Amino acid sequence: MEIFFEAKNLNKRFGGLLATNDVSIQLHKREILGVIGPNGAGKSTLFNLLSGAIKPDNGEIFFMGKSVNGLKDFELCKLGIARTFQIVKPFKELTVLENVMAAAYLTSIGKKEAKIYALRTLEAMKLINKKDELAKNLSLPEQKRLELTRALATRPKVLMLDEVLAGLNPSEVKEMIPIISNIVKNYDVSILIIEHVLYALMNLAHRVIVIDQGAVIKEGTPTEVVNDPVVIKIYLGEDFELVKS
Amino acid sequence: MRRFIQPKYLLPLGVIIILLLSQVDDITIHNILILTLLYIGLSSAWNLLSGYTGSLSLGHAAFFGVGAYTSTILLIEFQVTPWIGMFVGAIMCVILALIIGLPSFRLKGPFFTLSSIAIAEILRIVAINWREVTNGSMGLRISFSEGPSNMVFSNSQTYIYLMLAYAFIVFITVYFIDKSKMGLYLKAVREEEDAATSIGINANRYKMISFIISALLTGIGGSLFVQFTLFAEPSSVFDINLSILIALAAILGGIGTLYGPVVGAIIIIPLSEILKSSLGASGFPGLHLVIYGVVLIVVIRWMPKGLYPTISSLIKNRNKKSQKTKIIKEV
Repeated sequence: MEIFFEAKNLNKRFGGLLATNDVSIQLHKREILGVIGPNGAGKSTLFNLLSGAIKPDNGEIFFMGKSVNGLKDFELCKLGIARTFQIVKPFKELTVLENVMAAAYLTSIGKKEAKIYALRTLEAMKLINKKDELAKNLSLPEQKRLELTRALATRPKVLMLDEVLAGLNPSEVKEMIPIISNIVKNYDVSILIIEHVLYALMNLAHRVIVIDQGAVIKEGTPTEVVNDPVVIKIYLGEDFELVKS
Repeated sequence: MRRFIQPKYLLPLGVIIILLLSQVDDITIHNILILTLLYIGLSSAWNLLSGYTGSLSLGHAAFFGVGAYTSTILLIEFQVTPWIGMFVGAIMCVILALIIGLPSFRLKGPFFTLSSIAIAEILRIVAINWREVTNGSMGLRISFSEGPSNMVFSNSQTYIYLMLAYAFIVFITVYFIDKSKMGLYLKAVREEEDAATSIGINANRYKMISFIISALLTGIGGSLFVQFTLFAEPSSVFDINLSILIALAAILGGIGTLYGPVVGAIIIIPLSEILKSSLGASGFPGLHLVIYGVVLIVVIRWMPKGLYPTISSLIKNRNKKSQKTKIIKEV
């Protein structure tokens, strides 16, 4: 499979803390790659390194074979790497349609085209009936969906999702999962999803990377990962033993 | 009836009222009209930066003063017509905006505001002390030699038309930006800058463009103003109260909206002028400031978004209600 987006040997140190320790990841075309890890494992730091929000101490990031080190977030977005925020950041006083149009302008010529594409994306993400509402009036699950829709409207090739499922209740998570897997089916996009909630990724990700204390400790399919004794230990503690059934 | 209470009908109506009032032979009315139109332009230009991008400037007098002094010095020293001088002034304002925009956009919130005040004050002090060029605090006087090429008219109606054209040009500029991609980008940056850059918007670049356009339009307003008063002095064209009044008109009317500054200027300028002349003459000097303050407190307490958004949402809600009752009646 073609490697689309790749990070090689990323390192990031905050004072005495090595937040990212020699992390390398590869994202293939049309793949959903999950990154999991307990609190404080360095997931968000890794995400911020990949999305250009902070610079790595060393290591390189490649997108479609070209180095994208040191590019700012809006430049990365123009290349085709979009992201969402863990804490939703809608343009509160603008309507839902305007929120998405602002993103659609990036790859559209003129207002008409941007509007058409924004409407189409809203339709696909099942937010079309809210298009004239102000973004601040949406519920949290809707705002999370808006966040996704907005990132998708920039027509990305790589979509990085920072805990899109956090803060949702189990039934809302169930609603969200098919939406995300449909994105990969319907748009030519690879997804990197960082998630704290393990079970949410089980049905979603094709491949999972587990990080702990800044380093990759396990890589594999979701089933492999959840049955791995080391992963179980870091999630559930030393004394836990896997009961084989 | 109610559907006529819409900006697209009110705007031509306003122009007609202004043209009718300009026929009344009363110098007070003419003065009020000229100042109101000037402030419609200035506040709209200010709104393009501070309202749309959220970078609150309280130093727009800097651009007003630079525009005013540039065209005046060119006219007095080099006999350059103000028609050209005001564009040279505008270019000076663009250069000034570029110089102060690059470092000050790194500052967020109150720090940007404070630096804008500081820059206007620095320019005021420079104008007072650079006597060879500015004639210090004595100011520069434009000689009263009437003629279109000098932009000096004995007839104050001509100034009304001039200011009307100015207000219209500024308004149209902001109108087209508001409806365009740039307008949406500016609003996105105002609402959530991190999210705006994450969808590919170069926030600093768009803030800079809006700052440049805002400065340029304010500078032209300064040139027009001195051609009306025929006098430029540091304490009037670089005055911090001028910066505040520009901002207040927009905040009162509705910051970040297209029509807000227009509504705000139409209310605040005549109000302060009428109160000043009527109360000052009848032995209550300073009382106009008290009333002025009360109006501001009332508006900010009960209409924090400003007059225009509050009133237009009231009308919308009423229309919805009346439609509902209609439907109920029909059923």
